[in-house]
Amino acid sequence: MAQQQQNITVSAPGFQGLNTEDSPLQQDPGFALVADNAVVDKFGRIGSRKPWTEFTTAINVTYSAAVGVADTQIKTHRLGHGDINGTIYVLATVGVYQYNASGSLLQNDYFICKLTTSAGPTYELDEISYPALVDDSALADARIVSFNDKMYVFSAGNECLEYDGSTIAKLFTGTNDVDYIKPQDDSGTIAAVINGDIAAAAYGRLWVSGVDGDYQTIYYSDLLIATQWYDGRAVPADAQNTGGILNVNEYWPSGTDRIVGIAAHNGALFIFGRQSILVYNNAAVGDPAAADGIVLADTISGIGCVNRDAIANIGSDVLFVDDSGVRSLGRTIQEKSAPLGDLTSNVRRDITDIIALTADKTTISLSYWPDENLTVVNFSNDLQAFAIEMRAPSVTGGNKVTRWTNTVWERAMYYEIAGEARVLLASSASGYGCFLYDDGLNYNDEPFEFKYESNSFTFGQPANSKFVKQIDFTVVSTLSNAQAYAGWGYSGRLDYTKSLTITAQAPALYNVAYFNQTDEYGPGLTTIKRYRVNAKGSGESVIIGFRIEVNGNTCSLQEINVQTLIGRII
Amino acid sequence: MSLFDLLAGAGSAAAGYQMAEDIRQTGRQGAAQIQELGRELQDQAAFRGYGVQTGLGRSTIDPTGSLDVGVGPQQAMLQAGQSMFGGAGAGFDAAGQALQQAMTNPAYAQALAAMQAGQAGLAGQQAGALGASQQAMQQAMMDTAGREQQVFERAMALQEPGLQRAQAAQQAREFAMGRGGLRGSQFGGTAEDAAMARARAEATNQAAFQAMGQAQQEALNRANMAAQFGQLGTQAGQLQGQLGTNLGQLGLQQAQLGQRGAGMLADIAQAGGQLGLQGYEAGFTPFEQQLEALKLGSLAGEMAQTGQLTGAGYGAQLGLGGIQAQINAEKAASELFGNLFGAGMTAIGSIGQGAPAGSSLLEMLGLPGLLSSTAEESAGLRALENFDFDAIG
Repeated sequence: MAQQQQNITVSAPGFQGLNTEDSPLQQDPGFALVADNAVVDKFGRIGSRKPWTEFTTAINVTYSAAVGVADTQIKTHRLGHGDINGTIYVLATVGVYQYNASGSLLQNDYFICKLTTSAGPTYELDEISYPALVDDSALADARIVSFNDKMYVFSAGNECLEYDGSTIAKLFTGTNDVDYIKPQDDSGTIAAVINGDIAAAAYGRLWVSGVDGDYQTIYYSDLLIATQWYDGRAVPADAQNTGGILNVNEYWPSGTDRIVGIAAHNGALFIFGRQSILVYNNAAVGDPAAADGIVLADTISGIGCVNRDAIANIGSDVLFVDDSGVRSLGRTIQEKSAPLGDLTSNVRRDITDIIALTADKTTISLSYWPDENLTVVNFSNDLQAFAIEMRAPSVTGGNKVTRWTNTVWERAMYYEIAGEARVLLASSASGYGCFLYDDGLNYNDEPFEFKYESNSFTFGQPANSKFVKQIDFTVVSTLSNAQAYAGWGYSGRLDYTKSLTITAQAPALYNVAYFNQTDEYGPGLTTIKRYRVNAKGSGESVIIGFRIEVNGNTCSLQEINVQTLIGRII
Repeated sequence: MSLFDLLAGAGSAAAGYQMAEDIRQTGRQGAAQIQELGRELQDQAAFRGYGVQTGLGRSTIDPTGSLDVGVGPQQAMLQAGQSMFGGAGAGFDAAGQALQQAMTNPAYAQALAAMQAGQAGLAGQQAGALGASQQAMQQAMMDTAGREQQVFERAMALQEPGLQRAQAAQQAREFAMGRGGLRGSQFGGTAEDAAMARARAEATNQAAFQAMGQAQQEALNRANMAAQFGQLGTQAGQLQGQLGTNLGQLGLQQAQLGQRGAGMLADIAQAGGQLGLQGYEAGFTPFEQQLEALKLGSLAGEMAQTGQLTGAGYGAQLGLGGIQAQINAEKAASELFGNLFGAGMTAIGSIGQGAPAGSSLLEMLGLPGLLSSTAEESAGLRALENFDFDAIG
């Protein structure tokens, strides 16, 4: 006897993001097993991310061509921005790598470039000459910070460089005690130069670690004076100098650690070790060494930061990448490392594995994009990233997480200029300089794939066999048609796929002429369209998939309806 | 020389010789008369003694002047007086003995011994005190730098544990606050480090100043101690002197008591002696009264003697007058003869012109050297020398 089909509706599929931690059968249908290149859009749907659009059109650096060069790769490594006398400047470190035909590196050159704007507008990266450094290659992992109308480039082993908007010079230029005050006391010079690579500008000072390879000590500058540092002599050169040194070697709760990052938040100075965190309060006082100065408020053991750039201040909290994933510092402090501080708890094992397998932790970075409500932890070595939705957590408490692929950029930087918010991406794809995370075509005009897979559904009857007869995908698509693939399967894998052509629906736009007419309003067509797919096969559990190529178009998956027959008990 | 001269001279000598013989004869007669007168007068003027008869007895004075009072002292009174005088002697002996005892009284000896012991003890104490005083004074006069260093080191040693604890606590707090590795330009380290260093420096300075003050105070104390020791020494000396004085006074008092006792005994003895003497003297009262009576008798004796002497005087004067008149007459006759014979001889000598030797009158009188300065004695002079003028009353 024929049975009545059951309609199972999965509204807002994948809205909860990825969840690879909990049992698929016990999960909320809103979780996804796969959510590649997806974000949760403003309507609470899972949709395609924005592409890496080309931003800079040229990288103007001068280098000599190596003999036998067969391939030249120009990569942007690090980004930084700052306000110098009211003008926003963006600096980037660029590496030029020349390989021979067999892929061996022949020559590498490093540059510091600034982002320039030309009419159009067009953006280019222009080289800024800098003094000779000990190790130019360290610029590939430089730290660029803005401080008191100047920008500073910190790199390991190289003296700090100061950019005043036109030229770059070494921080200690001139005569000691006259033009600058190096770290010193009556026993002599403590550090001839500030050559650390872990730096932060906070509370009117520069805080730098890694000076002379010492990652147990933080040197902090005088208030608002980047050239004056610790002067412990009985008769200091500047009696008002409040620069100092903070050695945290004895304060690691696990006994030993090293400083990998410094962050400032809420009047506190967060010193990240690899497996520990030190929280110093009162860092914003006039003199940190004074009696009311900085004081160790908390130590957190068993949790640390994987890399200097894997720290992001989101305003209300500080996020960082631990071996276990992306953690929330505020929550961590409040809850003493309770699981609630784990933003990527829904994909913990996945991200943990990636972190563990990433040998070069400098390829891991974390950035907060407030205009997108995203925090992105990027694994540039693996060309993938996890985008963390910051608006609301998922039902598990962990944030909604999606995965991005082909992240051909090493660092991302959010900044605002002239009222425009930008997310710049330091391109690791040769010659692109900087991408912009924005609507438009992908940087190489190649589409990327927005991919969704649901967890397995049993429809409340796990012991019965299911016969999927029809799947309806309610899709929101705009701008251009795109090729999509619907998939379904049983027993946890997509056994069947069927191609779909997702037609674009031009959205109703206000005050935009349509067909060169002078209409005040465009056509009010809906962008939502349901696509029906006849399915087949049977199994105990059902898995639904959807993927679409994105290149200039947008796509969101609003709803999935599954028509199925419930069979006998197996 | 002429023969006349020789005649004149021989005549003169013979005449002078004759005349001198006459004169001698006259002198011998006068002397014999005077001697006879003297013997008569001696018998007449000799003391014949006298006697006095009283109720107490009869007292006589014989012609030899011997006195026989005839009355002796009263034996009872003499015996009583002698007895009391003997008692006085005994009293004097007792007084002397008491005085001797007072001079050698045991209290004085004890006082002397005590004083000597006290002096010895006090002398030792005084010497010790003065020695200590001198030592303390020397110490007080010494340079205080060494002592300051000692006090400073002790003060620092005393407060070092506290400072160490405070620093340890401060470092512990600093460590607990995570500020152990903090160094600021304003403080070299942390403000707490600077405060601790400042506290240490202040403690050091305070200890140094306290050490200086303490050393000075100690020097002052030593000076005071020296003064006190000196005062003790002085007081010991004074006490020693006072003790000696007291003991001397005690001895003196004891001696005075003994002396007073001896004096009293002596007074008693003297009174007894006085009484004995008075008794003894009283025993001689009858004798004295008899002598007084004898004095009255002597007046009468004197009156008799005076009459006797007056009669003898009258006799002597008359006898002498007669003798004197005889002699004067002999003398005048001699001189007259001499003058006549001299004139005759002169006339004989002048016949021969120039008087030859031996023709002078004296030579003629037999007194050739009477007026000569030669040592040849003349017979006249020898005659005069042999004249007993004592026989002349």
